[in-house]
Amino acid sequence: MRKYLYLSIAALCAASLASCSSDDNNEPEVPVTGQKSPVYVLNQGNFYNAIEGGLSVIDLEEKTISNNVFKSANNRSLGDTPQCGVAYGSKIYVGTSQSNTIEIIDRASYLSYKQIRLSENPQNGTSPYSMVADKGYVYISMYDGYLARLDTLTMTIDKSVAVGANPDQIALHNGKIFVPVSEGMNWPDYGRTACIVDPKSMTVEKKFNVGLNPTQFISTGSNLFLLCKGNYADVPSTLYEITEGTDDNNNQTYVSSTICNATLAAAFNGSVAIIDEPFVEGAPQATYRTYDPETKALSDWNIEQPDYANAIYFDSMSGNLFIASYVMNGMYPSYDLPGYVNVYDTTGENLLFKADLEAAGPACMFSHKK
Amino acid sequence: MNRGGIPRQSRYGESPTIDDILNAQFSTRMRKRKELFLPMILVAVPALNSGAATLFSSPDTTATTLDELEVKGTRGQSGLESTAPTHTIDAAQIKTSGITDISDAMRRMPGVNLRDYGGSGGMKTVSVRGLGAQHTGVIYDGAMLGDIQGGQIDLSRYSLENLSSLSLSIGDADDIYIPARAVSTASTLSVSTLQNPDMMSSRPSLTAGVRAASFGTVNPSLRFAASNGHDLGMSLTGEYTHAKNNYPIIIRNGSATTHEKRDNSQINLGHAEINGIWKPTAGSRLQAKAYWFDNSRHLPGPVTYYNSVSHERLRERNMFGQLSYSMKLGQMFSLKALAKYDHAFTRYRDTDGRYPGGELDQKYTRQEEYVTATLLCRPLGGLSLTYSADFWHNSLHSNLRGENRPFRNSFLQALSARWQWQRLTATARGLLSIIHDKSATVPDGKTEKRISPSAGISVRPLENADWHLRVSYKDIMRMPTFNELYFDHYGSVNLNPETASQLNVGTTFSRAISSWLPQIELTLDGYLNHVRNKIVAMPYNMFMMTMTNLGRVRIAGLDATINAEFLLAETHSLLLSGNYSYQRAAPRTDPAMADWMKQVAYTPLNSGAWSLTWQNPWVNIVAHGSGCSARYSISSNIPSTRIGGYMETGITAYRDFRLRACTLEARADLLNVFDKRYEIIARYPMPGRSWSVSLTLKM
Repeated sequence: MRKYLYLSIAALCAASLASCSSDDNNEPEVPVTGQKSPVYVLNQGNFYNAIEGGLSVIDLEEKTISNNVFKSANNRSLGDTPQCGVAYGSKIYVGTSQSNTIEIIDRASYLSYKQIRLSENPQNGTSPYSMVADKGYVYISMYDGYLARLDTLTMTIDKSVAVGANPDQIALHNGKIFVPVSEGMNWPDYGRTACIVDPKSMTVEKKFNVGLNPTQFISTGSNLFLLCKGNYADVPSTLYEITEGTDDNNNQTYVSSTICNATLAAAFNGSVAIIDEPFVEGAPQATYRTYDPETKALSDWNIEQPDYANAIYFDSMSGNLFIASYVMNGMYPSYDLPGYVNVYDTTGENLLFKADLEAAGPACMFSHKK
Repeated sequence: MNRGGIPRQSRYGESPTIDDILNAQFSTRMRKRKELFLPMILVAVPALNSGAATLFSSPDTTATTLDELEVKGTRGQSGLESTAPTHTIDAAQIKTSGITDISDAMRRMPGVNLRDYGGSGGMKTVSVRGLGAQHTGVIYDGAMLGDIQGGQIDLSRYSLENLSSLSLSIGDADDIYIPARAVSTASTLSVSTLQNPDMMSSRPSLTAGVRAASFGTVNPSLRFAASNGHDLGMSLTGEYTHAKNNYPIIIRNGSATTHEKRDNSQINLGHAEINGIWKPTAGSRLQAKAYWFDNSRHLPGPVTYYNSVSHERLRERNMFGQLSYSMKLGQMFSLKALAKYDHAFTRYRDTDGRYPGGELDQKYTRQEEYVTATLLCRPLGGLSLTYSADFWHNSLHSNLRGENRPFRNSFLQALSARWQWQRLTATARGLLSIIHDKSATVPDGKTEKRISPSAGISVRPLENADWHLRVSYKDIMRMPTFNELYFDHYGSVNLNPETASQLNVGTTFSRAISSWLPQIELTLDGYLNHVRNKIVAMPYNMFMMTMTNLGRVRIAGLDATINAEFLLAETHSLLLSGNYSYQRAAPRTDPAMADWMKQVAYTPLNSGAWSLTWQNPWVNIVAHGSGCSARYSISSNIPSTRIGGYMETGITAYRDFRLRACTLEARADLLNVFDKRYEIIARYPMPGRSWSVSLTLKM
């Protein structure tokens, strides 16, 4: 029986592998090419196979990668299943979903300033899933139903608000925080709502209906998108554009317009980079496309494809695009073996170099935001 | 495993095996093997309860005595003469070898790979010779237990208090007078309990015991047995276990070492049985059993850095009733039949805020109706034939939304032959399996048919030496479990059965060397197993895994055992018991895969156990140990998943006190003497040094 339970948990965790977005720091992207600051990669590891994750750093100037920088600096683990992070100000903030911690790390030395153990004080939420940073605060979606706010000066969570079951990848858009309420643990009745939280008052301002199983908001600055994972069966994972509109009663709300089937998406130079690896048996078949919100056009994305993409990130400072990938184990991607990150040039099509990781499950990438 | 001086019990409860029937002509063989059987009977006396002593000493009960011997002293159970390896540990050996619990007992058997999640509440399953736990069938008092959901039996629910014997058969044992289902797995572990009263005494017997141990463990037990001294008897058994299991653990995290406790591990376990027996005629018996089990436990989960909080709860209830009847039909035929109804309920709760409503509450109900009949025919002196037919129906219901209410009808028939000629024994069997599955997902159903052959031969080359050579082969399939077939996303209804073939070549030797070494037994077996269409979980996409028939595994290994008794003085002796296993389990699915020709996860190359017992007039002392070499938590064997080897050592002291008509058995154990910290499953630490004391009063 216990194995059955673990399988259940493993399935849910597998779902969570994907829920750490390619762009956790979904702030409006302003391309400023040419400046090369490090890009951080969180490897989730594989908790149930006792494989530890960690924090890796890609140096774009040297085209190198440093793995397990936190453990090297602090001589202890970052925690089980690093899930989300932001680099903001002089610090890096990392949330771990199994260990239930927020680790606050010095961006230069990687030494830990503070570790917040969420399970010891669960009223503000536990199981961090995604982060955005703005105006001195880090906002964290907690998978047990909260959006929490961490004051970067006091390094404490000063406020939180209940947003609904299993909020996933949040985005900052037009000064508001958009929260997808996935209800991902409520199989098979996944959620169909999202909400908007005012970051100053930390109150839910509005709720609106979206597609099945909303898991990731993506802001390009001027446009907002939402990835809904469907039910992993007959309802496909789909990318929507979210625009203001009216409902049947002429009330102001947000409406969803279908873009295409997609399993991964990220803001990319004002456009959206899209990967669709649909749920079919046998060898994976991936479709790479880009979407231009201005022209509403979908285009083929001619790119040197990785083995099995698990995350996309566009670094607006350097203009480079990053795709994290599993390695293949025979016909199948491996959740146990160390993955890698493909670093592409500013066109997003030409591979600059490949950065090999030392841990499995690369799932979250981010770079410094002032 | 079984010494000549230790009573050997029927592997399938008290029902007569084919050997029981063969032993109807027991006197001839007794003459031939007097030197073995006489000490066996004598040492058996204490194990058969106090009434048995009068039984064997009564000259007026010869006929009945033979009848009892048919049950208790069966040829072919020793493992030395059998065509395939059989290892038995009985109640006496549990004491003399210092065996502390069911998982410790399993570690004393060669070829066994135990998966133990730690502590008395942790799940314990066994994989034999690298085939996987789902290839190990568990027979409880004559009827095979089934877990249609997960396919593996958690042995942690069985205590040693009420145990008569544990017997592991690898491949097919020589006993062919058994249900078809009993040969439907690659290996079978037979759990036999003390269930029947002394039928020759109208005096009731009462056994009361209590065990206390570290980490808040208390385990009272009671057994009452009575008979009319002739043909009717009953027994009642009950036990309760409470354990906090909050044992100290050490968490090593980089340069930091923290000392914590394994919190959220407590168990409350209750178990009761009623057994009845009626012997209307000399050759027939009717037996009934009602079984109840209830276990409420907290699940600590894997050790997690910086977070020891767990809210998981598991409640397991199991009730079954079974009725069996056996009879002789003249001199040539015997028949036995069994019917059983089994109801199991499992509830898993996790009060974690991530779940809807703040709680995950999953309830599963499994039911099984099972009937079996076996006919034995002895057309010639050395030839025995059996035909057995089994049918059982499994169903699974749950409160999960979208559950598909699967059920399975299994119809198995086995035709078996055993031929014994002078110093040669040969067995052959054909098993026909017809299995039909149906569910909401597969409304038209799916039927699987397969014939599985097995054969074995054992020969004693020299007439005057108890030395045997043996070869056996078995081919068997394992049906996918309901989890593997139907669990949403994870399961795949397209799965085919997993198949396993086992080839064993071995030799056994037994001899009385001298007056100071009256008995030594040695066994050595080499084997080559293949698993095809292995059902494995593979990443289906970036979100989830699914089950598929992908794997191929080749397992080659060696099992060796030694049992010896040294007489130091008239009342002083040393008993030595040991086993060693070498197991090379290599995945051979695809050379492009990372696990190609590595070692299967959680399978050590080397493992073994030993015990040394000093028997003396004062307090018997046992030193014992078990351990294995390093393993990996994944089959691709990446260095960070290496789990270090271990050797756990314990000391046991025990003595029986005579108190008029009563016997008081006292026992004390110091476990893991050297406080070795180790894991069998990664992130599930095992307890360090601990103690246990028990008192058992037999009246």
